[in-house]
Amino acid sequence: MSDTEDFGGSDELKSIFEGLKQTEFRARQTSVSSSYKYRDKDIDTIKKLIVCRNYKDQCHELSYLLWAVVNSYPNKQSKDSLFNFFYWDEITTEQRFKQAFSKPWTDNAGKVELTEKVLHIEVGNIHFDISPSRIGVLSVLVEFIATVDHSLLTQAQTCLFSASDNERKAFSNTIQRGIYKFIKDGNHLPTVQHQTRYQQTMSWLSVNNLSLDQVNDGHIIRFWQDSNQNAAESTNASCVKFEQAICDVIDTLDVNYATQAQRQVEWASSISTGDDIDEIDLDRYSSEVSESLFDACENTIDIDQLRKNPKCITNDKQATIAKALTRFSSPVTSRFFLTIMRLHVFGYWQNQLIQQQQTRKGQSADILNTPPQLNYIDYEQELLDCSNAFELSSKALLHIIYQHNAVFVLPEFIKRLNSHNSALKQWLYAALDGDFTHVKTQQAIKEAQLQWRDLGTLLSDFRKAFNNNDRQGFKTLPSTEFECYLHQGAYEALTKIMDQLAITQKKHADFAQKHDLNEIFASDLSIFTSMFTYLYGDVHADE
Amino acid sequence: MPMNNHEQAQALFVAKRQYQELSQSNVEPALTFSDLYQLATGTSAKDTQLLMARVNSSVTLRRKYLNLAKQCAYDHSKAQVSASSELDMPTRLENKFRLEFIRDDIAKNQVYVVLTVHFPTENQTSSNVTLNVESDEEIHRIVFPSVIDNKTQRIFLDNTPELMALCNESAEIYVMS
Repeated sequence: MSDTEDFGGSDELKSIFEGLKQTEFRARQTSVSSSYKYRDKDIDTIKKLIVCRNYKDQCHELSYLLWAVVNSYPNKQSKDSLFNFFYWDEITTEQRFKQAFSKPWTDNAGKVELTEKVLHIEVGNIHFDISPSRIGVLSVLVEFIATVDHSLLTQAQTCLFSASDNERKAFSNTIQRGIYKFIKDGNHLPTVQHQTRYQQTMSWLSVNNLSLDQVNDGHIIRFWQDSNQNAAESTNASCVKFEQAICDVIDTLDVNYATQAQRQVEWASSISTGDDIDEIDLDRYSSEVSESLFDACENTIDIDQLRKNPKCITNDKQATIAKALTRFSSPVTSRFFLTIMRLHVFGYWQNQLIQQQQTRKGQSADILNTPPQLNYIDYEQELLDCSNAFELSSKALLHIIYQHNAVFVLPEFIKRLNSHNSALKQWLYAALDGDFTHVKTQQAIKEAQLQWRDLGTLLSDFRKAFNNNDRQGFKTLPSTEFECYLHQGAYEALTKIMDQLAITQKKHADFAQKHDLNEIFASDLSIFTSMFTYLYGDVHADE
Repeated sequence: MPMNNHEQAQALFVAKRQYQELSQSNVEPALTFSDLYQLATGTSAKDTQLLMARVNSSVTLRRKYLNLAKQCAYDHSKAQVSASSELDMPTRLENKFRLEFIRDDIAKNQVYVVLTVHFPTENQTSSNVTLNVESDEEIHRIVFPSVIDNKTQRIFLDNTPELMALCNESAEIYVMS
């Protein structure tokens, strides 16, 4: 088996998830421009389930939804209700879901009825409820299944028609087996290489007698140096990049902290249930604690997308910083601030060296002799530039979103208002609680502007940012709420990065107060230069 | 199967890494089932020529696509050719549709293809009619304008692959609803 086959997810699986992201609504006569059919957040949820091999509950839920669709959804366009529901009428949003099931249905086989909060399904005398908010995730799951093996949809149509709950259950198992078979047969999620990385990191920690809490920035450098030393001694290992060493350590710490937390949860519950605390299965574990683990350290923000449409991130430096911030946003990372700064400065240098080595052999010495373009003081300025640029993009986004979804912007007003204006804030909170529609909210804000000037100033600030921005996605206002979803997604992603950036800036300021950055940079420069010379310098010496 | 703490941490480490790997967008996006459905039914907002080329270049995708076309078809013609009358080209006559070929009297290299749909669907009258033609291991996706008075027509130059596919006696034709 070659290295590429045994690493991460297969290209096919990657390409399916990328395909899900790029899937658009079908072209309709009424609206010419189309937009993405599935939300990134929902695709990520399915991705998590797949990598955790934990999709049993979702298949169970889905089988009820499919049952409801097959039996109660009218088939207008094609013979197949499922095709109608998911592909012709494209029921992928909460609103459409509610419309789709607005008429109650009853038959000998059961009942489907939309109540105020949930879709209530009765298969025989078994009751099951699905919240309309679940349609996003479930429709992605259907698309995933259909893309992997579309015969499952046809089977669903025949198996679930007038089916009893036992038949529904059997079909739920069929879906599960279908996914499992696809992943296993295609070897889409190979594990060996990752397991090796984990074991090597754990054994390094144990050899060096380090507990999880003891690991610091200095240890990460040592781990990196030792890993390369080991790689040099072994015949089939290649050199380890500084970035990879950081990931290994941080990911290892992350998962161990998570298992510890889980153990405490299990221990607490075992007092009452009498469970054996050693018996923790990944299924249960994943749904409880790993959710927070993934959320905290996931790399789901698609920086490339933020550089395209709407173009919120404009240059390479900004993208690099954003990438580092999202990649290392786990709680553990907060104590490795210096490491992240090192990565930014020296990791970039290492990439240049590798590139140089691949393209023009023997030129690495030139780069080794020229210190990196950045030092630690410049890094602070870069963080600041980024923060200013992102702030402008986010204001422009808010102006766009406000045109179609004023409710979304309400909390942003509260966040951005000066703290002293408490009357206005209270008014905004009340408006939020009022559960208003977009039009009503816009109207209310229009009136409120007469009373509070701060509100008007904020809005004109947003408009100004929009007017001064003629990048892709900011040139014109989207004409429908649908198109606006793209901007909402971008805003949410950008806000996440900005929050992370603010934390990093604060840490940088605190650190710079206590330490001499130039001194640390000089010492790091010598460490990294000698390591890079060891890794890449020999090529030059040989020639 | 029960796992101990170490196995669990390792399993989670692997899952996390795989998740990151899968989140990298450095691959060509796969054609999802939605993409194929929209292509087959003539409702794709993407570059259909490019997508059809991808479908035709992969046996698996072609099979998937044809299955789908079959399933969503309004009517399907299995290589049946009825005798032509005064025309120099064959006419296809099915239960739900009919295809006629009429050569232009003046510009001899042009052929009108007239599609008659006996009981058109709403989509066929309001939007367009898509034909999926499987001819010699290749799928041609041909879109006709919307149906008026049960008829729609398109003009083709002689020897264009689309016309040849439509005329091919052994081609299977799926008219989409």
